[in-house]
Amino acid sequence: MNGHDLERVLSLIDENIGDNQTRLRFEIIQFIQNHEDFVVDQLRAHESATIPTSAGEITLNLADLREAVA
Amino acid sequence: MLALVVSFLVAVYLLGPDLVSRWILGFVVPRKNLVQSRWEEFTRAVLWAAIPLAVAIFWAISAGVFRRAGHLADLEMVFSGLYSERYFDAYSVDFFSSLRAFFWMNVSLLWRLYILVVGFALLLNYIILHYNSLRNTLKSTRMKTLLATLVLPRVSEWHVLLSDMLLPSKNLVLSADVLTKSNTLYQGRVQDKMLNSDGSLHSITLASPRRFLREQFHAEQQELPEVSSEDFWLTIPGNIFIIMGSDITNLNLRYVRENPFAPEPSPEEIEVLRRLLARLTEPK
Repeated sequence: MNGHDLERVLSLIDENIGDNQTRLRFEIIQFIQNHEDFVVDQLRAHESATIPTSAGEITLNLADLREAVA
Repeated sequence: MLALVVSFLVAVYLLGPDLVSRWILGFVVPRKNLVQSRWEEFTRAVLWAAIPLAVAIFWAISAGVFRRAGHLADLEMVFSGLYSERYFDAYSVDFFSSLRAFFWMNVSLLWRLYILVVGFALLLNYIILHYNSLRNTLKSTRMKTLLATLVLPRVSEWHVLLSDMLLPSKNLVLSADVLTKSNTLYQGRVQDKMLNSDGSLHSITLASPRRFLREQFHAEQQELPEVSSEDFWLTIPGNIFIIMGSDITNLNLRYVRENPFAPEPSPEEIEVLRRLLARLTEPK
């Protein structure tokens, strides 16, 4: 793999990060809207909630959520 | 004897710097050991050693080391003595005197050469470790390509794809969907990978592994078309799930932020999250 190919891969990784974040946010928000009681119970019990997504289970921390809306 | 000395000089001036730089770079990135012919190995070693050697020669000349250690005549004397036995017998006293000068000229050149090679390799290691911050400061694609060409010329492709070293942020995790030759789909977070000496993928280790129950999903989908595929992932107990590279048909890699709402969620997302947080303050 030469420098040009490597740089191309790194650019694809950058795009991959952006695309995944958009998709994951959509999936997480959809899950929260559809299973609000479940998420609230988890946050109350553990200060975090595990959300199933297409990229596996994502753990949302209460502190991160508070920071996001601040 | 002349062939022996020339071979030794080739080894210490050309092959040694290449080996030393490979060894030091190996601490930071697994390098791809290309299968090359002897001529290709030799050409690459010459190219790698040429610049530091030229600088070392310039350094030694500027410091006046050669003048103090000996003269060009000493080199001629040593090589002539090594080449011809009759010449050696005729000038044996001068030969050994020149050999001493020859030895010190080489020592003064070699320590400079190896200091430069080690310094250059350490600098390269530092740049590789800080590659992303350096890359992000460059705006032009050409400059980025030049940086990749200079810094990462022989890094294994799998290392670029599967390690977090070159990711723009340390808060990213790498998730992978792995389809094996037996048509089984696994998913998990890439924990580790092992590479073969030629840079190819030996195995991949997944944390939080899951297996997709494809048959059950398709059977269920026949009856309920709106069924969610998310319900058909079977969690595999354990945290070190190894899949051999030879078993992998394809890989879907996803770089995921640990906190998906960083750096800034949209107004709609904020509204949903606010409502969620508000519910936490309500009595059960």
